[in-house]
Amino acid sequence: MDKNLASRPKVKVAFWITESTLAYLLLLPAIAVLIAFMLYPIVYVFLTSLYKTNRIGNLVKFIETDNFKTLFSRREFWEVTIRSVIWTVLAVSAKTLVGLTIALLLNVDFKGRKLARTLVILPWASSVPISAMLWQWTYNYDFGLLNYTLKITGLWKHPPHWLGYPLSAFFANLYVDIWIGIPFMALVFLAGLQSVPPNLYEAAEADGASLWQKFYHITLPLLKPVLLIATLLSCLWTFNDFNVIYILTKGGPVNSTDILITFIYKYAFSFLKFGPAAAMAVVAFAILLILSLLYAWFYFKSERY
Amino acid sequence: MKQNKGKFVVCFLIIVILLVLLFPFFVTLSTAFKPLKEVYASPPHWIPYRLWWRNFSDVWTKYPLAQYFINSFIIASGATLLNMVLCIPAAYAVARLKFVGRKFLLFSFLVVQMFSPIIVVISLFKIFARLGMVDTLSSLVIVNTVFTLAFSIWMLNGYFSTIPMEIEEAALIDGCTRLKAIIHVTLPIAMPGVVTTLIYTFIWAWNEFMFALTLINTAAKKPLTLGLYDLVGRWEVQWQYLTAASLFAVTPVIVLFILIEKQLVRGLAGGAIKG
Amino acid sequence: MKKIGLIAMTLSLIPLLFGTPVGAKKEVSFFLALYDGLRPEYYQDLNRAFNEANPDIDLKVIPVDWNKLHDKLVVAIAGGRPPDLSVIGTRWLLEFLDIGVVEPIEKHLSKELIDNIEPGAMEARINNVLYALPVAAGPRFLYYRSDIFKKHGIAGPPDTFEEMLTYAQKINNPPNFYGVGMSGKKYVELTEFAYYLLGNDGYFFEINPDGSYGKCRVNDEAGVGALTFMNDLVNKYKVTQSGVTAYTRDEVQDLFVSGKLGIILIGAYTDVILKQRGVTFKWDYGLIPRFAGKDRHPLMITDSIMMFEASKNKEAAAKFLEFFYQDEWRLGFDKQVGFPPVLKSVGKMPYFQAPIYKVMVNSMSGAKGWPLIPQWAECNDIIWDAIGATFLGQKTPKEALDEAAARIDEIREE
Repeated sequence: MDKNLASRPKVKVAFWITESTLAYLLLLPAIAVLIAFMLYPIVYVFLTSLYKTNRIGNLVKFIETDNFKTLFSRREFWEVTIRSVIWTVLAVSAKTLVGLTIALLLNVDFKGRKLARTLVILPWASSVPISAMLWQWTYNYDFGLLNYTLKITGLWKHPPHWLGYPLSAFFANLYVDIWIGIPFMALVFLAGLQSVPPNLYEAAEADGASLWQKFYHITLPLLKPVLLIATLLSCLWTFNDFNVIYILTKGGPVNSTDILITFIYKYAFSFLKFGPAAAMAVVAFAILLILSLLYAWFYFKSERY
Repeated sequence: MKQNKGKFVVCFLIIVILLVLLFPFFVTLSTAFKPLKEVYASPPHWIPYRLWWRNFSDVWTKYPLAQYFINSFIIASGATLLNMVLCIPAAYAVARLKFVGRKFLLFSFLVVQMFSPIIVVISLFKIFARLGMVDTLSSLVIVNTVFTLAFSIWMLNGYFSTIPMEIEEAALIDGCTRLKAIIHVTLPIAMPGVVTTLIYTFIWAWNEFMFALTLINTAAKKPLTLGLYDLVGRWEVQWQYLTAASLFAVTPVIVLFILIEKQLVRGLAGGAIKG
Repeated sequence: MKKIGLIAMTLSLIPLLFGTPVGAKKEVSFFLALYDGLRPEYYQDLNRAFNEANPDIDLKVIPVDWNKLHDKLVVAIAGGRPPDLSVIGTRWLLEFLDIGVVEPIEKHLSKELIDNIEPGAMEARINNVLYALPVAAGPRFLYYRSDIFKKHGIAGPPDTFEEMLTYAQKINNPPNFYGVGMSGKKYVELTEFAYYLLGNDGYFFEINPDGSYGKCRVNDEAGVGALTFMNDLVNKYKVTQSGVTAYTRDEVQDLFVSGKLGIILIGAYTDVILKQRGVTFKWDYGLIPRFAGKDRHPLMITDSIMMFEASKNKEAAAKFLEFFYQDEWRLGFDKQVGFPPVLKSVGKMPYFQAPIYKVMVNSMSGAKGWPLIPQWAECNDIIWDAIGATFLGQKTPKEALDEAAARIDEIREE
């Protein structure tokens, strides 16, 4: 893999361009675009969290950490934050497992594989707000086909009002988020599996390795970088998954499905309280930053060997 | 024999998974073929009384669906193109070159991904307002590029890293310039990764909603995601049209996927190493 | 920190301006909310007709989905680019006033237009100044299944909530048919609770002598009584559909339209839907009930058109409003959206003499509106949570409302 990076002789393009310079030249356009458009918004969020704002979002008074203090004293904030973490862990685990399973299955050459691969992408193919609305329709107690099908197939004689009660609403939301995220995981893992040299498997089979051994000792290690990146990104996106919950339950019933991002939305867009909203955004960022640092440590460690 | 039994099991599992996964699409199909009154039949039923094809034509005639399609297409293709132009060199640099600040840079790309559109939408709107770019499709092209750039660089970095350096060096030894080596050797092998990144960007841009809502005013410039919301009223949702239109809306993504699927599944062709 | 921000901002100004060319025409942008039933041809024609009649003005009607209008406005305002005019839910007026972006519209309109407006629709009149122009009034009333009522020997709509309960118990026939519909899912409007609260002579806040709002009083006897009654309908007498916390008011409406509810409290558009879907059962409507011994105080919910203080072409914008509020255009609008007319002159037209409009107009007199305070959105949210918690059995009505009132008073102090 990347073990060569350290031992390789330096690369030269032309005598006046060092490797570092070349790298920066190649990176410059991307960096420039990102700075131009994301620097101000990010800085603004941090600034806003430290200020009292008027309802239009203009910074009024520097109040240091007051926004944070108010935030930390509210019980709902902690509930919502913990729920966000639980939400993310559950969803990402499910997405990874199911995605990996599907990728492994689709890696096998069977008739109709091409069709299956195309169909798997469907949950990802429509925009999240529209998918959420279609799911809202499916979850409908009276006219939705989910409960109807559960009843007539006998799978569940008395299915609940999915979006009406805290526990069922949480899992209903979770399922939709997982559902939307599975194709991406499956696709990413599939592409990763494709890069595994088949002769490795052939060699292992010749040695009498079982299916599980092949998976554990060949597939998994080679997939590690892809796995790490995919799950990390999925964590970032899932933590911030706003549309699903907002459209299905608006965080209800009684805030039982609120996660940090829907809470932020409420404070910013419904109550026009940009200060606390920004403070929460900073907290969300901090959580994701810590997570990413952990990942980065793992990732760069695996690179070096 | 054993192989066939294995394939049968795989096939069976896939069918079960697809049935569960595609459940809401069956619901969508069923609803799209019913008139609104039948949509609200209670208890509901799967098979429409009659195939109500009219919904599929109505969504084109009653709403400017064609215009929405064109707009979405411009935005998504534009963003994908811009993204590729920016991220391929960047990812290559990060994956192959040694330079000061490499890890920091890679990590900072990740930081951008930690911000949900909700949090930055107002500031981004301000930027585009200052640039006089509110209500333009180009603003959406840029926004979608910005939000997929970090991901693309990371993903491509991962895929580039799995390709051994020896392959490129072999080409260099054979007398290729570095650029030629990249284009003719590295990129083809990394195709699955490139294509995954490409399709991810396209889908992200095709389905983006929040920025389209805030940046687009003119009805004629609305992309599909926004346009479909025409069907969601304050008192009533036109489910029959929403489902029909959403079936149309996913088609381009499916078509794109079918077209590039070959590239996606081409593995590390034995040819690259042997040849 | 700020410096970096400034540098970034400057850097971001480097790309060329794709600005709109400056012409001689005055530009007016109007966010029009997409009302159910309002056809695109209507506002496209309106746009064209106005521009033709006023060659020096370039009007742009920008249709926005109702559910997304508030978000779009917030971003536009906070981003420094509000439109000239926008339809708003009148309850949003206070939060915009608090920001200071509202231009009192009375200054720019002719006396004839203002005098022509139905008094029952003047929700946006604060301290005798009309801040926004009423565009649609959404009265609420009680729909009931006259065929089912007849079958059970009930003569007409209930006058009091107690009567409503008795009727509901008679016609209740679970699991396929329920007496009364109740929505318990958090929604933008708090109407469900408001019907009962106002019908019990309660209100959200005490009104001080000078007209300003005092302490929150949802937890007084009237408020607790209203919520207790609602909760009893759901959990004690069980005359409502099950799982009320899963239903928004649209979904309750859907139940009624598909024949599963005997009574609902809802707005005018349901009438349109019932006709459109060609329902075969017989239905009728009456006024929202009140509690026995209390006065009737219907709920007034209006939408208004607001002018932004930042508008550069206020006169041109006002010209458009005068144009839009001509009888023929207003008639077309009101007919399509199914709401009662806000103009007196339109109200006299033959189309609006139909019985349902009489009921609507009746239901608008003596109506009370939402509290006009800037923090109303948050109060709304808090009260909804209290209602949901009660329905789910997590708290008693008194507990829930006490907590809500305390929290509301807290945030008003901030």
